[in-house]
Amino acid sequence: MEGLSLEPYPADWQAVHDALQPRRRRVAWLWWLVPAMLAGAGLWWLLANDNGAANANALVEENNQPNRVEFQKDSQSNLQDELSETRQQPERSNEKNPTSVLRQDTESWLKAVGSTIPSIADNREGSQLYVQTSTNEPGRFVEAAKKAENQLPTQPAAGPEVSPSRALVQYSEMPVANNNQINQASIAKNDSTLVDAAPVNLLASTADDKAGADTPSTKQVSAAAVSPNKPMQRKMRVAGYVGAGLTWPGSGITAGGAKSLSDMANNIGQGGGSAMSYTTQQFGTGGHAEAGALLEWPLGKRMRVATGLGLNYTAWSENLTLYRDSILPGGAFASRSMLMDVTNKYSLLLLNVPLRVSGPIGRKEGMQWWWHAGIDNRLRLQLKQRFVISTQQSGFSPQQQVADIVSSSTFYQPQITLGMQYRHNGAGGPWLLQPSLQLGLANVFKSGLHTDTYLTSINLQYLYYFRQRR
Amino acid sequence: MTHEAEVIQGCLRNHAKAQKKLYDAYAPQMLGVCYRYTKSPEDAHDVLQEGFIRVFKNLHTWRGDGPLAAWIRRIMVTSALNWLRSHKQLELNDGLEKAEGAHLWEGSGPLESLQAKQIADIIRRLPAGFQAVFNLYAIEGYSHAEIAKMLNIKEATSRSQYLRARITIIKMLEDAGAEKMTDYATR
Repeated sequence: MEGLSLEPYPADWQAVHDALQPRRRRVAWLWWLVPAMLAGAGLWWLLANDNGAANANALVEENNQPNRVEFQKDSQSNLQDELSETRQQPERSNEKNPTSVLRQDTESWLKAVGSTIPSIADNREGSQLYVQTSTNEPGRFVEAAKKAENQLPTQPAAGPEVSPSRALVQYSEMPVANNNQINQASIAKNDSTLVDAAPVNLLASTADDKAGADTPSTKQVSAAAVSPNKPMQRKMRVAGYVGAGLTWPGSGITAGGAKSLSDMANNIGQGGGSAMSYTTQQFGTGGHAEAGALLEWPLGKRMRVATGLGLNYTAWSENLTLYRDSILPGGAFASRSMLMDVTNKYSLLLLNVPLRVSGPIGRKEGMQWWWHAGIDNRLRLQLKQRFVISTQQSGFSPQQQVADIVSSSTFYQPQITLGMQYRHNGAGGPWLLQPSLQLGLANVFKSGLHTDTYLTSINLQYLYYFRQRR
Repeated sequence: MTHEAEVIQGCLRNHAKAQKKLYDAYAPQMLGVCYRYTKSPEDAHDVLQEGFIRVFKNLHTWRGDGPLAAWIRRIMVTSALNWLRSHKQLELNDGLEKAEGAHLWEGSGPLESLQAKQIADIIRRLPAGFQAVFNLYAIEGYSHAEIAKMLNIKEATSRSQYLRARITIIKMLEDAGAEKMTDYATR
């Protein structure tokens, strides 16, 4: 009876082998990428949208100066030493200077709470990361970091299915004060449900300088992440994805057909027995492709949340035609002549940080249907535009004008996504086919020929979930 | 150094090739062990995987004072019992009940004439509690005192479960024999 031998499956050895491999640090490294990217995105947003962008750029350069305070020192004494060194610099020796007062305040604050900085990490049994950009004032960064600490949830969420980790991003703008008043109005956007339940908790806050219009401002962007030492890797799934689809410009789904943007009836000639109106028609279609990686965690028993990083390329062309219509008295149409024909070709390069929530709808044997919704946090890295404008006004010979514009300015273009997933967990592995309908509301152009152009797209994504360690 | 000793040394150094050799040498036999303790083939494969993970993680504790196969087998049995506990399939009545009909099968009996696979299939049809005790006593050779300690039950309960398992097996064999006779008569 003891001689019973059966042939194991090949997958048995694979599972044993996978379980014996040392834990990969790569996943943990990827985790820190998220707050770092969010901090970078915040900085870009500042540079692209604020009038004081040049000032901010200057501060970024100054950021390399040695008087910067690192908040990740091993001991409080290191912080104190650096602050002391900073104070000894000649340009900062004037005790009447309000920045010195601020520095003194900060030093006092450090003495008061500095000992708790490492213990915060210890209490949460995790680690913290601060990402700092653009500051040349140690005291200010400390101030910002202190605020970040205050806004972090004091206790990790309990329970097996909730938040294994937390992240925080804070942006604050503070004045180079001519007095020692740091009048800072902070607006913290904090979705408490998200904080308690999501594995990636994002808190964003902005601060405005109310000290006076003539006060120059500095800017700070900081990000902090706390990752308790829970075995989140066991719950986390890693997926690579590729996707492609169709894109249409314009507001509303036009399926590539003609759409009258403005049926204007500008009666410009009341006399003479005729009137004029102008009609603009827009045609357009295009495509996009995206590839990236997703990290997915359970969120309760019936939901999952995912985030990641992707690179998106979108290209489309559109044709706009401007017609002049002759209208007879009484409103009857007489004739139409083309005034201008514009052909535009665009290509966008986007960095995407999707945030997605999904949940099952139903299942039958190995087949599952899931819903998913979220937002694609997309940063426009580059926009190429090519205009070909033909004019054909009566009395003039046709003219053509070609213009190529390459813009590399960054611009935040979020896209809302809604869709369905089909998952099949068969014997072939955890493959997942995810057809998703993405409804984009991306303000493509900041300025120029079009003030607002929206993109609607249908996207088909194919995800591969890597095999999980037992 | 013998071939097996070399393989073990490789496993202790976490060499995948050595681990694969050890696995290939013992996995079929150990899957047979897991098969007897579980109800479905998938469960047996799960137990096998968990058992071998424990084998490789605890190989440094093997002192070499007995056959390696016996040591691996003990780990497989323990893994199977843990698996049954975690899946709530190991529920034993903790009272001594009279096992009527135990006399029907004493010593060597009808099981001796069957193939190992047939025996395993019969054992797998037992209720989970009977199945574990029968495997541990009749197949693995543990005493009732040892079984009581392993399963955290009374020794008398182990005896009772074993006797009831035997009765159930005999009844299964009798029913199977009656079916065969019926088949033969209706041809």
